Amino acid sequence: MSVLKPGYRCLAGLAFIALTSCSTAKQSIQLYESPPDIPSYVELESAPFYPQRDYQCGPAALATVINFHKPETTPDSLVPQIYIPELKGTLQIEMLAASRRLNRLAIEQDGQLTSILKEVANGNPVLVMQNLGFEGYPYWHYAVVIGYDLDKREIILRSGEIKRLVRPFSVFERTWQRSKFWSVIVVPAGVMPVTVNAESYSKAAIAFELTSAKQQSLLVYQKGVQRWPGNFLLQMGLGNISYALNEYSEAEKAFLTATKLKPQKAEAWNNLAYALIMQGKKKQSLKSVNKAIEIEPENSQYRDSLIEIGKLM
Amino acid sequence: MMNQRVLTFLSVSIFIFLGFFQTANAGMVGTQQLLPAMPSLNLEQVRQDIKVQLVDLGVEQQQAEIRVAAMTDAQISELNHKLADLPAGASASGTLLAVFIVLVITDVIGATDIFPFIKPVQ
Repeated sequence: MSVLKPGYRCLAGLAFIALTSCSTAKQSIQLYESPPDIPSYVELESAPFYPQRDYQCGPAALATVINFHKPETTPDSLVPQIYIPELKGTLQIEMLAASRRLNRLAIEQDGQLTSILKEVANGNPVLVMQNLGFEGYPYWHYAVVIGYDLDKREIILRSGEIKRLVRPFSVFERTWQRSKFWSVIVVPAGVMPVTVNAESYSKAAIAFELTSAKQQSLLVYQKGVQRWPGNFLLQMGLGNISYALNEYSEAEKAFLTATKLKPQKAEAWNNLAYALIMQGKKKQSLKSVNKAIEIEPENSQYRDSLIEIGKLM
Repeated sequence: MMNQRVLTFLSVSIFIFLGFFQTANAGMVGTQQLLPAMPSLNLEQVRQDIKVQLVDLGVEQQQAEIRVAAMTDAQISELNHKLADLPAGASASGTLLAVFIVLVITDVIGATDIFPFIKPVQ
């Protein structure tokens, strides 16, 4: 009898947590009350399915989103890239990093259930992390949202060993909530998801640039600037990548736009000066680098730029 | 004067070392540098630490190097000192019988979703 007691206590404790967490599927409730303007049923049936082995839901889920647009990898070849044997799992950061290594842009979403559904309706499966257990008894899990049915209030996933796991929005929301609503869109360069903002896109673009071919990065920034022409960071990114590809007049255009967007950013004037000097526009280049020094007289980097540009003349 | 030179030299070499500049000219400001400043960390040291940690956790040396190289500075500082505490997909603690029973019940009421064969009651 005394042996069972701790067990019961545990049961009571967990049941309490369960009851309290039952009342918190707020987003699902909102979804019923004011449904987003998307088709009532979508299912991306062509999303590949790789039944996970052992603890390897990370590689399986990642292979699904990576291979959706075009075949690139297998779960087995992803294992050495993202799996951590002693943790028996995969870190979120490595899911993002591995996507980039495979020429994919990995963009984190805003934690809204409607964003997941909208992106699926737009034709992109969404990678999610869930805790299928409790805070104190975690069962971390990666899965891929491939569909939904607004009328039946259900979400459809590729999950673990189940090819088509159907769950009520509310149950999904509770398990997803415990990962702090982590969801990610994984797309090739040139594909623009509908549910990301300029900030998350530019963050993903900068990370993508680290390990990707310059031409691919150029495409990523071009798409970004097309959608958010008023974004300083994306204009700077486009300028830098164009410059790295020796496309100096393209670089000039982007940096010039950046200086108009934020005239007090010395970085933009500095880089503009380099794009100008590489085209032999000496006078304009000098003017531009001097503007950078004028804005940040204490910053030695811009004084060094002036010296370097002098040598390039 | 001397100090300033040493500082400039140091900062320039650190920047080059960290691969900030993808461009031919050292004076260009790289895009990654435009992101909000990281807390003052020796990022290269942290990268080394994370590599060692990954190897300790069973990742092959060569893979660990490639994996750490693929992480951004922001991710490196996020991982600093807490790699083993972060959630890793597909890790569950051992299941005790009592816990098993609880999880069946919580699965039925839709609070958890451990067993795919259990359909939650709405």
